[in-house]
Parts: sequence; C-alpha cells; structure tokens
Amino acid sequence: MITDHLQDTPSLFGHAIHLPGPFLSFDILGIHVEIGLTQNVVMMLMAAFLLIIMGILVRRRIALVPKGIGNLVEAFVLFIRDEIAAATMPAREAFRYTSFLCTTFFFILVCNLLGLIPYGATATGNLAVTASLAFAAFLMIQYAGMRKMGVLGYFRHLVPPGVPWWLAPLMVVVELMGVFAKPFALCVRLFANMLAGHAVILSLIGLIFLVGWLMVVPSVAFGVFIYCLEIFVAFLQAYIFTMLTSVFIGLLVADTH
Amino acid sequence: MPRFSSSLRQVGPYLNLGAMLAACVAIGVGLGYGLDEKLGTHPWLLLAGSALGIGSGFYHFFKTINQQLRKADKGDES
Repeated sequence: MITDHLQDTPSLFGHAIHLPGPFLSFDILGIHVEIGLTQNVVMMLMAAFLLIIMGILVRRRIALVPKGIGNLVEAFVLFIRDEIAAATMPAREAFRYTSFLCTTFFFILVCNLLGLIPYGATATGNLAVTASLAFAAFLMIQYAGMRKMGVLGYFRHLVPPGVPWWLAPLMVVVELMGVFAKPFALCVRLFANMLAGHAVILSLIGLIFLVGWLMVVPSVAFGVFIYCLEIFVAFLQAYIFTMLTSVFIGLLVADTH
Repeated sequence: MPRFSSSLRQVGPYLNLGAMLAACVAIGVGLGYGLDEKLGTHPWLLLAGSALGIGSGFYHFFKTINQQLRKADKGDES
C-alpha cells in the first residue's frame, strides 16, 4: 500500500481499478512516449477538481468578514500576498504575481495532502510532476524578468556590470547555469522531500518483517510520528516552493540591482 | 505568529543556497558527461564541465550572500 504511494502505475486503489490505456503513443528524439492516465495524473486531476470546487464555494459566499472555508482560504491568500510576495518584491509587482503564487501554493499543498490519504498517491513525489511545476515557475521567472527589463535588457543582464570583456563569455555561461539551476533545485527539493517521508515510513514498517514482533510497537509509534511530521512537511514544502519562486521573481523585478 | 513569519522571511533567500550549489555542479557534470558521450572525447569535457559547474556553484553562492548582506546593511541604515 505504501509502495503504491511512491510508484506511478496505470491503476488505482492497489491495482483494483485499471485506468484506460494510453491514448497516444509516439517516438520523439529516440524516446518512446505514451500519454494516458496514470495514478499520479488522476491524483493531479483530483487536486485540480478540489481546488475548483473550493474556488466556487469561496466565490459564492464572498463577504466582508468571511466565515468557514472562505476564512481559511483568505488567511492563506493574505499570507501569500503579504508575507511572501510583498516581502520579496516591490508592492506594485507583488499584486501582479500573487495569483500565480497562490495557484502554485494551493496545487502543491493539495497534491501533498492527497498523498497522505491511504490508497492515494503522492503526485508531487514523482520527478516528472515536480519538473513540470518547476518548468512553470521557470517560465514565470523569465517572463517577469523580460517584462521588467525588456527582452534585450534581460539578456544584457546576464553579464554583470564591471566585468572585463574577456571574462564576459564565461560569465554568460555561468549565469545561464544559475538560471537553470534555480528551477532544478526547486524540482529536486520538492520531489525528494515528498518521497523521503513515504520511504521512511516504508522502511519502519519493513523493520517489523525483518526483526519480528518485537519491532511492532516502536515501528508503528515512529511511523505515526513521521506521518504527523509529513503533514507539517506538506505545508512547509508548498510554502518553500512558493517562497523561492517569489524570491527569484523578486531578484529580477527589484528596482535596484 | 508575526515572529515566526518574519523569521521565515529572513531565512527564505538562504534556503536555496545549498541546493543551488549542488544543482550547479550536477548540471555541469551532466552537461560534460552528455557531450562526452556524444562527441567521444572522454574524459575531457566531463572534467571541464565539472570545473565549470563547481565554479558557477561557488559564484552563485557568494553572489546570493553578498546580495543579502548588502540588503541587510541598507536595512540597518534606514
């Protein structure tokens, strides 16, 4: 059951439901690609569906002093706007990018939390999913930079001022590496954190079978502890991903260099 | 709560330092290795890529720290 959380199989609920097979399959650059429903895709669709329902509910009961779910969502959105966006970039830019940051935050959070439900799957524990999320963040960061400095200005910014001419080509390569390393780090961090929690629980439960009944109590106790820790990590990783995306946008749109 | 969020805000930019260093090295090594495989120039591009990756990793490390220090200085003055 735990391994199902870590794998991406074309079936659901411990292979009880088989998802419809690949709709499209083709070869590109020597790699065979099959596009179809898998466990993680279903989980992401579920997360998106839940978020749409949440949005409709919040929108319908809009009020000056929100109650219930509206209150909860407002607290998160205000936190993202004031503590993440406004803290890392000028106020005018912060409002522009708050919607993107909120979308990222809620999607990652719901995916992480869905991964903690028994028979579920952690979509954010799949490198392909986190890579796509990081790619979206990468596009947004580049867009923010180009919007602020202009396309040419953005590429000129790759060579820091005051660098001797013979160092300029090397600096372009070094800066370009930084540009790609940022989303790479985002992607690996989210993936590793979501995978690690599940792997630790799996190892703890596995100890019972290795050692015998003596390990039952400590293993289950530690497993529950790690599970509680994972609920915290689900929030923390969503926050860190959003925060760092915001910091990277902020570095490019800041008024002073 | 305000204290918690303000400390989170301060720690934010530093959260990425270690991962950036590792990511730069990984990208450099991966790029060098891939090019080596393609061009058959073992092991020279791998070495060059590693050196470039390590160099750019350290460059971005110190760049981030300098930026944050400058920001902190400015914050103290005003």
